[in-house]
Amino acid sequence: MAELTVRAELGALTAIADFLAGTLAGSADDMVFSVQLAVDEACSNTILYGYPNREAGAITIACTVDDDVIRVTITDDGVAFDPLTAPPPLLDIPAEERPIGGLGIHFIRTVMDNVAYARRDDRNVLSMEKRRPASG
Amino acid sequence: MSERVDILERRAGAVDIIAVKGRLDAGSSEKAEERINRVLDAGGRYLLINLCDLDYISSSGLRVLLAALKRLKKDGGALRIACAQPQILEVFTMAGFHRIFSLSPDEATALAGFPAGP
Repeated sequence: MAELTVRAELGALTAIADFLAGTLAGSADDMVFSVQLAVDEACSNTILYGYPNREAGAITIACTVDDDVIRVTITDDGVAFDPLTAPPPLLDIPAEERPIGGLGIHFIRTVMDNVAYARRDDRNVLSMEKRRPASG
Repeated sequence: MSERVDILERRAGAVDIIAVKGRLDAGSSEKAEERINRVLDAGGRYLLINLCDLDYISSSGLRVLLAALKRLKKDGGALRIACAQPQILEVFTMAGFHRIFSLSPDEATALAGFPAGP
């Protein structure tokens, strides 16, 4: 298992993308892109909204690559937030009427095969799985 | 490195062209928004966003483009996007943005879509 811990600041997003690119090297490009997008969206939410009026904490990303599945667990010490309770965005209405927001979680649900949330020891734990096709 | 985006501006007739290169994520979208708003504040009404060399976009990047589209539509302008790569297009599609943005395969096609002359 590969693991990365970063300070919950926007500047860390590129380091997270690089960590995943390295850990997932050898997987198909679209698999890497999907996992990077899901993790980036989840971490962006935590960084932007997880530490209101207090110092940024830490986010840990753990990633394992098996033959048939990629598993990523994101743990943070921000305020309790279950992204899976967010309502789906309205995708079919004109641009002018679109509310801003809600898209990131929609992306996570779309690109990953399984997403689960738990609050453990005052931490948010988001576990995600992406199945790998047999060909790699 | 904390940010990995390059933004280049130029003009073609009445059209402002902004090329966004690299990563458009929550860390870099504010910079892109500032640059786009500067062009619109200066009176730009026809905006072409060139994404030929954009490797990554998240919902934060899409929000910046949507805000620019809304502002231009309100002011009677237009925004066209050129040359988004397949993985970028996939993100647009996931968001339903392929239906609300004008997406062109290359810059010349996008330019031809704007009203001619000032």
